[in-house]
Amino acid sequence: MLGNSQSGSHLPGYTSNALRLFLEGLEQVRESQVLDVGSICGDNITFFARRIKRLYICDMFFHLSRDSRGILPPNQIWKHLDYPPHSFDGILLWNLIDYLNDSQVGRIAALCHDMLKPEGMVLASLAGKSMSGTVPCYFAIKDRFRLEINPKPEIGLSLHIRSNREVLELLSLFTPEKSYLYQNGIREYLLRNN
Amino acid sequence: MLGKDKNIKTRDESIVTYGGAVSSEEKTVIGKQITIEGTVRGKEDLLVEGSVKGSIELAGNHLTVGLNGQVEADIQAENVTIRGHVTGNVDALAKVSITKEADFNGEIHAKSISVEDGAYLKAVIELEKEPQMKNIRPVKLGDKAASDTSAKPAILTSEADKAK
Repeated sequence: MLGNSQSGSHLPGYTSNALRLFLEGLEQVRESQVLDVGSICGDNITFFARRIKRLYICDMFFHLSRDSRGILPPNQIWKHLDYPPHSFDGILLWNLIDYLNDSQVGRIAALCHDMLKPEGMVLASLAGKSMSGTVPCYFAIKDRFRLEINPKPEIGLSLHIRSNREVLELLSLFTPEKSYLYQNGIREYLLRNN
Repeated sequence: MLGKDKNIKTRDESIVTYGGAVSSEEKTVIGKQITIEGTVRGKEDLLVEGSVKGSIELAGNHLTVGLNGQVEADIQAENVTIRGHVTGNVDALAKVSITKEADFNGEIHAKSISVEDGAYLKAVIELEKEPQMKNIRPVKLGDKAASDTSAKPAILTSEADKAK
């Protein structure tokens, strides 16, 4: 059995080494700015807002889900990431890549590449099928970089399972610094823009 | 002058002030059918269930945007609770609380924040920093918490791979 489940979660948590490295990298930057494009999670907002200068929130799961229901024309979704180039020292892609097709991953990688400052970092986490089949989930930061994994309401998006090589190829605009595979099947990639 | 629990309606761009001799427990309500354009300024707590466009200034008091509230305004208050729809910048001396029903678009400056999972935000958040928050204890790989069964991942790539 992996780590203990917390209240409200039925999925095993784990301690994130990539998150620790991501934060240590941000601590080297004066007045750091981070963009979180994952699901809205109060714990994560509090965690980062207390530690960095400015936290930008744009829930791309929400926009992707609306897009999949035809509320917005395809490809209009990217207009939500309308931040100027070289804005961020770090971008959090919590579990997002699993729910994008290859074309969409390429698009968001290019956008992140533009939005990141030189030497900026991307933290991408992939749950894949590790979490109770294909139930969508989101990560919530608890004490000391421990991540709780919570199920999300149905978001109507297809899960795309990829090998490590495929993920790195799709994110080849960035230099991989560290990748981790945990016993619970979750993968984390810490990438740098250089 | 607006009193306790009185609904407010103004047609033209205006400055609305309220909060005379009332206790701190009293709260003014801008009801569902009320639309205000202009500046709302006061010295007591305010609940917005209607529509406000312009600015809201409640120095030392609590603004609540209710489930039906539609606010397009820059907001200054001691505490701000958002349950409805807000577009604008929020400057809170103390805390901003955002519930899961909220739809917020704008910037937040505050001392602290709480956000319920499921809320929608497109936001920039900047908290007033306390000096001791700088000291984050890093997790050492040898620590118990980092070396329990779930926390010893396989490293798939490293900087050494880049040299290959």
